[in-house]
Amino acid sequence: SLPKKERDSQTQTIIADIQKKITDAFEVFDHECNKTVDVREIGTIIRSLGCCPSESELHDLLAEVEEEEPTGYIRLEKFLPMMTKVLMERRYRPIPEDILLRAFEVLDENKCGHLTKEELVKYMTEEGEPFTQEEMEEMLSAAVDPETNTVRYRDYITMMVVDEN
Amino acid sequence: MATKVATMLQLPYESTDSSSKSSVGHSQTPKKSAIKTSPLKLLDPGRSKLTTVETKRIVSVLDEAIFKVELISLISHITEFLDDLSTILGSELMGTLKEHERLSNNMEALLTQLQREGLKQEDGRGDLVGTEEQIRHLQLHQQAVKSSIRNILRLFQADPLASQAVRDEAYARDLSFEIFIKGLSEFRGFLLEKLLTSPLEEQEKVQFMEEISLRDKKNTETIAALEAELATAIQSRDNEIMKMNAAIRDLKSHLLHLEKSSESHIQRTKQEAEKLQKGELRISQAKCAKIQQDIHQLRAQLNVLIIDNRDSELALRKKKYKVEMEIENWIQKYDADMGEKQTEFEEVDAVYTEEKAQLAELKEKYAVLEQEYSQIKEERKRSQEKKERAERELAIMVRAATHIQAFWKGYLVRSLLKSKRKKKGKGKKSKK
Repeated sequence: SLPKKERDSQTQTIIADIQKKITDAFEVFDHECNKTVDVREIGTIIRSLGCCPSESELHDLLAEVEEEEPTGYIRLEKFLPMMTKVLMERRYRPIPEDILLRAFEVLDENKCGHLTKEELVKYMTEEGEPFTQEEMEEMLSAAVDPETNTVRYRDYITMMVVDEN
Repeated sequence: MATKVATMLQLPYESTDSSSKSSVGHSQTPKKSAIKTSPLKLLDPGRSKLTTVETKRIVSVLDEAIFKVELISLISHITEFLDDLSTILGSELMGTLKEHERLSNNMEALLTQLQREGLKQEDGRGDLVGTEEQIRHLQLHQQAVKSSIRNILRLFQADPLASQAVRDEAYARDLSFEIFIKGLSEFRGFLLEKLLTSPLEEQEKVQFMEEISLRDKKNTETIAALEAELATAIQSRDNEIMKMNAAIRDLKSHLLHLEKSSESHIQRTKQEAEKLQKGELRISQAKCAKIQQDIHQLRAQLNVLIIDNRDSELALRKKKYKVEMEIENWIQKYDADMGEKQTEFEEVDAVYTEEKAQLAELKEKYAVLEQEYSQIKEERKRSQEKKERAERELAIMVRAATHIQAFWKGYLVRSLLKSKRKKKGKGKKSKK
């Protein structure tokens, strides 16, 4: 409904906003202040910008921005257009609550509304893109109810969604 | 036609011989029976026998008169051949007969004399008329003859044998006498009939006769009419015939004419034909000669050809014989080959049948194996499906885990950064 010019300018401002956000997030990890970050920090930067890519997706994104001869660093020059595009297209958005719930229900083979700690460990370290020991412990500390030693995943999801917002 | 005419003539068809049958009952009811039986019966006498004495007498007198007349008629004959009959007649009769002869001769002489004198005249009664004296003389003679005859008759009556003998000579009787006797017997019959019928019957008879005559008249009329018709028919037929005759005559003349013309025509044609024939003959002779010549020539040619052909035939025969020999050889070879082939074929056939049996056996085995194979296949399919299902489930699980992991990593980073920023914000009081 808005005139084209106005819409264009609006888009320009949105892009500028997004690019600023990206640059800010990038600079947090640019320890040497030379518009480069360690390649291992890229996952953290992308996730900090509100995306939830899987490890394989992250790998694809990295392949886009890496130098022809890997140096172990990623330049902002390359990262900025790729990330702008990802955010403009709203790719790798966190999955909605109901789908997350359904994912837990798939793992809950007995359909009893909760997973045991062992089950969670088993699934998270053996299936999908297995967690490292460290990651696993982080998750367990947040998700497991220490009294029952189970994961009431419905409550856990609600908690995470509330935190995110 | 005959029956038609008969009905027209109204002929009474009943035959007269039926009268003998019906004559039995005549004495009682003559009239009735006569009417009943036949119209002709009416004409017969009412009864067959005379009833009264008078009538019987009348008839017997008449009979006697006839008998006498018969005798008298023969007297002249007897007197001529008197000697022949002398044995039968007897002396008395002979004497009287001789006397009679004499008397009759005298009378004849007298009559001839009278005739010669031209005095002979005949009156109504047949008596001779002459001079008074002569007449008397004649009458005397007549008397004598009459009495002599009476005498003779009386003698004959007394001698039935003689009378029978004389009557046997009847063939010599004169014709006039014969007629007279016949007349007498007719008269006797007529009289008898008259005496046998009553007046009433007579009247009926008359009536019947009238009817008959009337009918006859009608019949004659019809006949006349028919005859007239016939005459006209004949006339027309004659006319027709005449016409036909004329036509025939015409045709005959025409035929004659035709014959003549045709004869001349034939002659002419014959002449022409002869001429033509002669011409043709000449030409044909010439042709014949020519053809003969040709024939000679052709025959010569033929002979040459025959000789040539014989030579070639001989050559061909030789060739044929050779070829036949070859063919025979070929056939023999062929037969041998075929025999070999046959035996070979039989061997192969035996092998084939054996193999066929084996094949059947193998087929049986194959069927069993196939069944097993299909079972195994089924099992494999089932297990494959199971595996696929498990894989699918696993994939779903992996995806679910990945989702959770990705979400959690994002959540973890953001929550960590948030807590870091809070710490920083507290420390640096940077923009929020």
